[in-house]
Amino acid sequence: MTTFLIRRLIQMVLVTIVAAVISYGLLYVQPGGPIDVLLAERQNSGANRINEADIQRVMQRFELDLAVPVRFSRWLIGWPKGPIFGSVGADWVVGCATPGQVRLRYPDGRVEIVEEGCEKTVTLADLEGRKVSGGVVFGDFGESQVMLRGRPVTDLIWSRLPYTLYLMGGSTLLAILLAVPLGVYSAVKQYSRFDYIVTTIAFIGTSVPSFVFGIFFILLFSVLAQRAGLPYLPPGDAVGVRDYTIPLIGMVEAGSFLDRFLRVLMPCGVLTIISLAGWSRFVRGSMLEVLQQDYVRTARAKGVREQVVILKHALRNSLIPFVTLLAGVLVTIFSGALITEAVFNWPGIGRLFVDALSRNDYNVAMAILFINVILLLLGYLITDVLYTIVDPRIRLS
Amino acid sequence: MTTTSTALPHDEADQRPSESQMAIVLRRFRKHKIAMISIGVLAFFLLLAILAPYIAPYPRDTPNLAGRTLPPFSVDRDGGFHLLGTDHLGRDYLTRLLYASRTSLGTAIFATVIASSIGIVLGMLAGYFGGWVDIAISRTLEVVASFPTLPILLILSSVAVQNINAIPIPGFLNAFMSWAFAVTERESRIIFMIIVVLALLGWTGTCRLMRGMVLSVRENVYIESSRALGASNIRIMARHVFPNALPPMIVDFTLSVNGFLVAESAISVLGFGIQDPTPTWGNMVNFAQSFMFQHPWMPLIPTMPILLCSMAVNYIGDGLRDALDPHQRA
Amino acid sequence: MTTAPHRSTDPSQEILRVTGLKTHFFTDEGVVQAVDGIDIVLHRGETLGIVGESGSGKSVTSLSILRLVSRPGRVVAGTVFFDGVDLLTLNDEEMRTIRGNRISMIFQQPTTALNPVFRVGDQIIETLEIHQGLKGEEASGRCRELLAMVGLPDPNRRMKQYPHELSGGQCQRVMIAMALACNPELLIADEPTTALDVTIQAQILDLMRALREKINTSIILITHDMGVVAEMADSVAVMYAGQIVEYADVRSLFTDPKHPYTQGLLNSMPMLGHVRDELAVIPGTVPSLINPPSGCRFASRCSQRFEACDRDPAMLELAEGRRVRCWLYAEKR
Repeated sequence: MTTFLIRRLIQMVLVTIVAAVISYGLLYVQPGGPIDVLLAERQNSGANRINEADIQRVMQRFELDLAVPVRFSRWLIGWPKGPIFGSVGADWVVGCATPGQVRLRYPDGRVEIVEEGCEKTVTLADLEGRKVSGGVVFGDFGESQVMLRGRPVTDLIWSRLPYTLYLMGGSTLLAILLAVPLGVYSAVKQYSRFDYIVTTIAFIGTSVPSFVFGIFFILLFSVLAQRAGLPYLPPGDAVGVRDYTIPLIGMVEAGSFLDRFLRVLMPCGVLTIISLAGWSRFVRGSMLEVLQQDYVRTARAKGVREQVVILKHALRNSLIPFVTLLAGVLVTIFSGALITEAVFNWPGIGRLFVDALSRNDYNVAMAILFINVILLLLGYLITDVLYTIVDPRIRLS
Repeated sequence: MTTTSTALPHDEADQRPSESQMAIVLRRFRKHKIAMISIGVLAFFLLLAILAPYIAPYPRDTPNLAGRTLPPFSVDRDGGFHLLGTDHLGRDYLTRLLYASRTSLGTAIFATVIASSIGIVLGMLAGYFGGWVDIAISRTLEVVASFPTLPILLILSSVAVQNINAIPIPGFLNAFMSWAFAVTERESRIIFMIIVVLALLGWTGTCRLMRGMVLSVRENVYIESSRALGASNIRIMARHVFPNALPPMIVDFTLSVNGFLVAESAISVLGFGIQDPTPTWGNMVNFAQSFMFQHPWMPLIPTMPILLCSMAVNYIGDGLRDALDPHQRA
Repeated sequence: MTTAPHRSTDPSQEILRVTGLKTHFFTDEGVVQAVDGIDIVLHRGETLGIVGESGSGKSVTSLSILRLVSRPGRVVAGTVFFDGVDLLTLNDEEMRTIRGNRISMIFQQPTTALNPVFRVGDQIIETLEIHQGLKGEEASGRCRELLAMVGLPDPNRRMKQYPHELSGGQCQRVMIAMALACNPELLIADEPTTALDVTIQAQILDLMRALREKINTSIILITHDMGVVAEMADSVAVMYAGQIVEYADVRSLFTDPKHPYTQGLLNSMPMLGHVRDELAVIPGTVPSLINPPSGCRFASRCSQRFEACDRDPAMLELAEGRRVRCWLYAEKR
């Protein structure tokens, strides 16, 4: 067990680093990455054209003047902050502040300026005093570049996390609590009308994309209900900004518990239905398989009450594969459902990610992605450990 | 011998679905009524997609600022009839929907073809040669599969869309894409990028399936026997692995189309992916969302084909699985 | 061979009487007539062997007696009188108090018949709790006794083990301990040794014989192995395609088999010292039970077939307790 955990942790660290390199490369290094976009944006919006000094400042801010490995290392573990051990390598060149320019004159008269060499280099000593992240690995994801200019990314994530947690936590819990009994009952009563209805609804639930559910819910419970003068649900956001009146319910004060409750109903409903559909199908399938096993027949032959056969002998076994599903839950609870949060304008982590991406706030997007990967890996680990608890046949080695 | 798994063929005669087996499959499939209806639904949308440039009543992109967000069955000031109304720029909604079927379905199908090809080839290599080939492919697969799919998809597609010229696309390919999707070559670059992104993330399932298939078929004695007779590796692959892997692959292919359709729509709904003016069902929903309170039909209209196609493909996959499942074969 | 049958005409000695039992499976392809009208009489202390190829309906017969046939199967006709009560008329609760208590069963695959997620001790104790209300130390004490009885050394340790930690033979001993926990009047053993190694098979059979003497329980032993029948059974029912084709005491069956199928089975039985093989020497296969051929079901494989075989043969009583379903003996009667 211990050796397994150690090996697994080493594996996780490796995968994390691979994930870090890949995602860093994706967002920072590739040509025409976020910096170009940012520069272009500022160029478009600002009335005054940007000059050399501006460019240098931006480059310094995003550390574009440093060599990629140095930049990556500073981003990942916040090192080197300056000369090593305070003095070693103070004059080591780690980047280039101003690239050298070579004027190429073609025979046909065209002139092209090509960057070549370096006019002004950056040394380790220059890094001293520069702002540096504490390292992504240590939970410092740097500062938000667009959304909350200059504020730490972690602040943004912390402010959004509670919304995602209670939305996702609620719907996940609800879905598990409903999916297990539905799946079990459906399997026990296979081919009954109940089973038929449950499987049909579950099938539809798993094939309808989540945003379709979201849009239908808003149209049905919000737009149409309001137009018909029926009690309706507020269509988006987690908290209202002004009071509103709902037929039969009356005045709802913005920010009150009722307001928050009404607003969470629809996104929570959508998420619950989606998970419920998949999970009840899963539980039903695994229950059906278990019910055909010899040991279930043995239990019946022993004279065990049918309910006990189902709820003790069969259910315990059929939930073993269900545990694997729960590995994914951890990550969804953190990252939220991107689509559902976006459709319902829910101020959670999922929408934060979407917003950050569409506004090119790459530090924020990176941080969320990074946490996502780590939680996913943790989820796998937890699954493995859970497996040994629920299934005595499995030993970790 | 009613419950033999697909991987372990019962006897020589069973290697290739014989005429009668095909008949059994077809008969079983026809019994699945909803799957039959679904084929009709899907065929209808495919037909619309193919005919889009010929039957569309208006030019795709011409805005009409005087006739914006018209409801269905309305007539604009110039006397033009709009069966499904117009969008926020006054473009005919039906026309855009028709072109969008071409983009959305086409993207899903192309992505499936590419992803399945990658998956089949890598899966076969991994399963057949084993050793370091298998290790390399399996590890890559694990890494790709362990990424959170949707966030990565969003990042890649946003990066791709902002850098459509970063990856050189051969001229003939782009010309083909622009012909296939009935769009300009600039637009087809974006479509191509999105297809590539989708396919790069979507091959793992097929690969895993194929690898498992090959592994179990390889264990079979008759591979040994045909090797003893001097059959080449390629021949063994073609003659033995493919026919056995075919039924689950067909189901996998069907469900992949659905997966890619939904994925493409989802990223478009979030505002990433294929961009206006190229219409897709997803980005039509994205724009319509801002108008859903004043004009509820706007999100509803492009949502319906996504819903219908997704359900149809799922039901077809379900029907195919039932029809091809050897566990049910009498 | 074995002891002479202790048969008695005294009906009070009769523990089980199955009459006209039919169990059908309602599948998409049609109705499978897995058990199609069988009659069995079993006396106290008697061991009845039911033999036949796989698919002949022996297992379904035993499950039907305990009413454990699962969907899409159903007992459609017949009576099963156990100690004077028709089991098929009992409600579920009454039936439950009989299962594992007065009638218990052991299965072919001991490793899969035990629930993998519970300790074997707990699985035995569960039976004791249900039927005898034993709890705590009392129950575990009895459990240790049972485990020792079936020859598992170190019962304390065994009790805490999970099925996957035991070998196939050990699992079958646990199953037997579980089955005998409540001193049942009838034990149904469905191919109890088939899945085990040859040496373990002999040990398990020895164990069952020893326990039979000790507890004096009646046994229905289902097997396809004529050797096992010869060693264990007092009387034998030979099943073919859902019907009993011959019923006899074990000595008569082996010395003077009547039905051509029984003759085939005995001919295919390996000689002493030869490798024991599956019963597949009779050419042909068991006919489909969805639309069984009219007439004698064995006719297509029978070497002594003649015109009469196109009609359904009736069960002929040749002598007391000696019955055969074959036209060959119709005139001779």
